[in-house]
Amino acid sequence: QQQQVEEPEPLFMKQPFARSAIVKGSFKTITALPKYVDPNEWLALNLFEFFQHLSQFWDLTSPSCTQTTCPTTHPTHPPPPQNPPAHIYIPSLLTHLSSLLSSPSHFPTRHAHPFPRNFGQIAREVYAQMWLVFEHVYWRHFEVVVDGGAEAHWNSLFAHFVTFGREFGMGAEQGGMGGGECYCDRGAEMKSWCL
Amino acid sequence: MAGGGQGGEEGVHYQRQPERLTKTQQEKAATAKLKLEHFYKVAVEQAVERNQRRLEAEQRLAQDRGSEERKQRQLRSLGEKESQYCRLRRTRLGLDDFHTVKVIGKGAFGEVRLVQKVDTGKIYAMKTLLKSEMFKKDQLAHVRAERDVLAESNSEWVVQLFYSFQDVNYLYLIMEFLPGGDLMTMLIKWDTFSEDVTRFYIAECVLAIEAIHKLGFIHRDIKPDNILIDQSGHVKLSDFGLSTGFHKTHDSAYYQRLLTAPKPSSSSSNPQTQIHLTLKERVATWKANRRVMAYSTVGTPDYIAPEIFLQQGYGMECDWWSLGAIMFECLVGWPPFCSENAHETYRKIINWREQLYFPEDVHISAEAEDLIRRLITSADHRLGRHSADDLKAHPFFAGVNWATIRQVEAPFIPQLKSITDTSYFPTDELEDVPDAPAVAAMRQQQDTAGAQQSGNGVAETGKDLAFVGYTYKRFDMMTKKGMW
Ligand SMILES: Nc1ncnc2c1ncn2[C@@H]1O[C@H](COP(=O)(O)OP(=O)(O)OP(=O)(O)O)[C@@H](O)[C@H]1O
Repeated sequence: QQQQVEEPEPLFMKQPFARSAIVKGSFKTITALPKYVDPNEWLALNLFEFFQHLSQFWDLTSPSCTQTTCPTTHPTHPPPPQNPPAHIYIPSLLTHLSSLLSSPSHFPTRHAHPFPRNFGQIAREVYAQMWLVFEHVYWRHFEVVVDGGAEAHWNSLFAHFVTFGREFGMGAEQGGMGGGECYCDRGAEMKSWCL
Repeated sequence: MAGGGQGGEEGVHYQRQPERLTKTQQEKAATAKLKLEHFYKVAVEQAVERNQRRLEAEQRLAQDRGSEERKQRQLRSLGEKESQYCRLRRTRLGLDDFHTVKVIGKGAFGEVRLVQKVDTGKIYAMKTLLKSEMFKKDQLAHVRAERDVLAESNSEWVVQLFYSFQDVNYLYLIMEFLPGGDLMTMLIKWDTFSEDVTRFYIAECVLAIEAIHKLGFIHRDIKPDNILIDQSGHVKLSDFGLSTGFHKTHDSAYYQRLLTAPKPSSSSSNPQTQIHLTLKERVATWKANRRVMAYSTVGTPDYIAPEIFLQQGYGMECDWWSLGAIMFECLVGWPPFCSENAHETYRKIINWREQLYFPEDVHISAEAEDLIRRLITSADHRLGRHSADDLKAHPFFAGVNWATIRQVEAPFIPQLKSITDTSYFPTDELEDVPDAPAVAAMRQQQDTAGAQQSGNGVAETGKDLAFVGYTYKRFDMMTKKGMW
């Protein structure tokens, strides 16, 4: 982790981009589990909605993601040799997530159909994989987000995602997800959104 | 561009370059932003409303003298409803989630069916609309947004829309099923209504039209086929926006055709008989064609206000003209400008001053005739042009209690044997009604495509996010009516 400090600071950490957000105030209002509501139902809905928004941003940035720009998915660390380049890996990840989220045995939608026993585990996996996509876009394609004038939106979505993850023990607070680290702990601004 | 610098340092590190994005990317950025803004706005509203519901329930139970166990049960049940609502919001519905009971209506762009949701067994009316026929593609989003607002209005005067989804060819609207049929079918059955019965339906229509005007909408195509009857015999306006009416009233080519078409006497295959048609014969022809007209793409212009035809702009008062024409029909038995064909009707509406005429052998009270004449008149004199209150104050409505009319007993209450009873719909007749040409062509195309490519997965069922909107008005309505 030490060596990362020496890297040039990525654009998303710099002002004014790092500070920009469309949502002011605490995300806790909208992430907290409403009283009497089934926690699985709440997790499922939130993951589903994050996925919808995340896919939209990927659609925006994906034309800029090629073999040349992103030979690896992971932003800073040297890649495990078996990992395919990002322009192949990320779409396959999203396709996988999409089918998982619409699979009745993992995310039931029919009336009175129960969640699988290991739903908590499934939810954490979905979260971790979405995390990778957030990470990749932040490190490699943030310029595109800025060109689209959408950095405030993107930042807020991410802050929301992190707050949600912390609230429900999705692993974000460990700061080691996907081999990366929680950006919230790196920038003071980002930190303040995630509280 | 990215000047190296320490974190927190102010200054420009990167110049935004929107022109580096392709047109598609720019559009995607715009949509993503809009959607996210909407999402957060609604998410906060929802959290607040959800909280309110919970507090209300808790307070109610605190005052309740029931047992502790009963209270807990009620809170659990609130939680279940909230949970089911969460589930519904991520449910994608498709055609295979519904099972058709019967076709109950046909239109130019598709049909209306009585359907049952497979998992819950709930009954709905499903309207199918052929997309290619309805709009140029870019209009679709706009119109959908418009109708979503309406669907969320939750007005008791408008048929509620629960879900909508689409596949490549069709848009599907899942609405509440109104088992009482429509006013057209009723008029076909009864010919005319007494003044008392007419007063009831027209008064309810006044409130219904007022309600949609208050929401900022103009219906533009109010006619007896769009006035539906609910389980207790009260009126609701059929969903609109995507209807034939909408299409037609915005299609200037349609009016052009009406305008320039040759007069019936010269175009008819049998000119002699048509020239000498008496009123009685004309009405008979009109009645015989009534349903066929309703199913045709051309539709009937009988109830459309002249200013719409003339395309000089119109306001909400055009709906009051239509109501006048419907009231005339309720009392007289046919609409005021009824003719054997649309062109002739159109010419009569334009010349309403000479053409509006009350038959001598039909008794109509002075108040009723006066109200009709104040509605079938030029837009700048029409009653209701300022507000619906002007109509409500008319002597014809003397004695109507506007605040409670929806609660009083209706003149005809549908006698239903089951929740899927369709006896108020001409289901037998419908079997013989051919599909509109475009719909028929699409079906044929699908059939041959299906035969050629069966099993190859091309005809994947379209699944779309079920929920039209996210508001909690919707929540209340669905739980109240036990829509789960
Ligand atoms: N929600 C509903 N419940 C019961 N019957 C309905 C419902 N919606 C429509 N119908 C029946 O289907 C018929 C046709 O519906 P509708 O008028 O909405 O469609 P259309 O003819 O395609 O369009 P439009 O009349 O707006 O041009 C109605 O006259 C009515 O008999």
